[in-house]
Amino acid sequence: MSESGCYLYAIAAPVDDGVLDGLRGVAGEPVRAVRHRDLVAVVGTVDVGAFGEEALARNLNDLGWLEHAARAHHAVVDGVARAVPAAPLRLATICADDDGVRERLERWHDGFRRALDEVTGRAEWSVKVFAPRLPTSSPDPVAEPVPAAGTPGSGAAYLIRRKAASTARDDALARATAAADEVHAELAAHAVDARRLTVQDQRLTGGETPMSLNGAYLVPIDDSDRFEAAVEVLRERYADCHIVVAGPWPAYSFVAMEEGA
Amino acid sequence: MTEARERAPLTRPYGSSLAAPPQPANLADILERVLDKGIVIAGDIRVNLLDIELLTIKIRLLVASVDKAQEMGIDWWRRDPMLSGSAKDDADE
Repeated sequence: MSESGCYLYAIAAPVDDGVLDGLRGVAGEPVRAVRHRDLVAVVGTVDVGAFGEEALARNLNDLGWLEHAARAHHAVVDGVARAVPAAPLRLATICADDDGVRERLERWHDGFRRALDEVTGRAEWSVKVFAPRLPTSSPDPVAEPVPAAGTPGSGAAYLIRRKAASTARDDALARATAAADEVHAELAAHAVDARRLTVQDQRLTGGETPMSLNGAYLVPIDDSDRFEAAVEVLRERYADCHIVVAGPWPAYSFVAMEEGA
Repeated sequence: MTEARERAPLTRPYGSSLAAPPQPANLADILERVLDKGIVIAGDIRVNLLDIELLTIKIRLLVASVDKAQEMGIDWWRRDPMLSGSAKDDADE
């Protein structure tokens, strides 16, 4: 049959087989731990037919395939991170065999160790701020009497309404930008580490208004409740902005590691 | 949930602080993290990282052309994607 490769999901502290038994990987395969010194790599055996260089280049550009792989990769990482400290690997890191995995655990041991120490006892939270919704354009009849069509001033009134709408949009965005800065500063104070990720395109989020903050926060597990309470306070303070919190996540955004490190 | 808050051991996993697992994360968040974040090391089977970067650009391009994407039956950026998992082999612009 065709060759197989070793797909890596996460570097972790030694993990019980019981945790891994319930997980299935990107190819629907069972996952296992390859141990070296005080670390394990959580891996699955995949077919090079689907995960070889050429196949991957093709498959990664198939959005259906990508979605499936991304969700499966995340599910394994998440399952491991819920049980032991774990540092996620980027999608599609594949070694020839277990020896190749051990060799990397040896070569980058110290970097992995540092990454793991950084996230031990901590989890990532995602907090997003969306701009306020614009008032639905039913102009206040008191503030803006609508002249009958054809009477002098109806065109001017239209222009005034147009201008008011565009001003309202600018105001909402300015408000969202200010809220983003303040929310991020406030939450960063409740976190061990914080990052502002690129805001996501509105068409990607499906949100009604643009995103002004896509924040990631590394929070001690024991402080989770306090962190969520802080988000609630901010929600009340910026009641017109839509604030979305998600977590806990594996610490994807806080395990950056230079290969040479 | 409402157990006494005692000092947890350092190795306490985050799962144990939860009464229930959260709802499944949305795809945009997952893609952002599995493609752009996490540890990057070279495997034996090399996916040119450029390909992945190109891919994310491509995703943005694709998303920037919602009509075209919908024509192709791709609507996975919606909050609750209902993809079969094997999209058409046609993501090339």
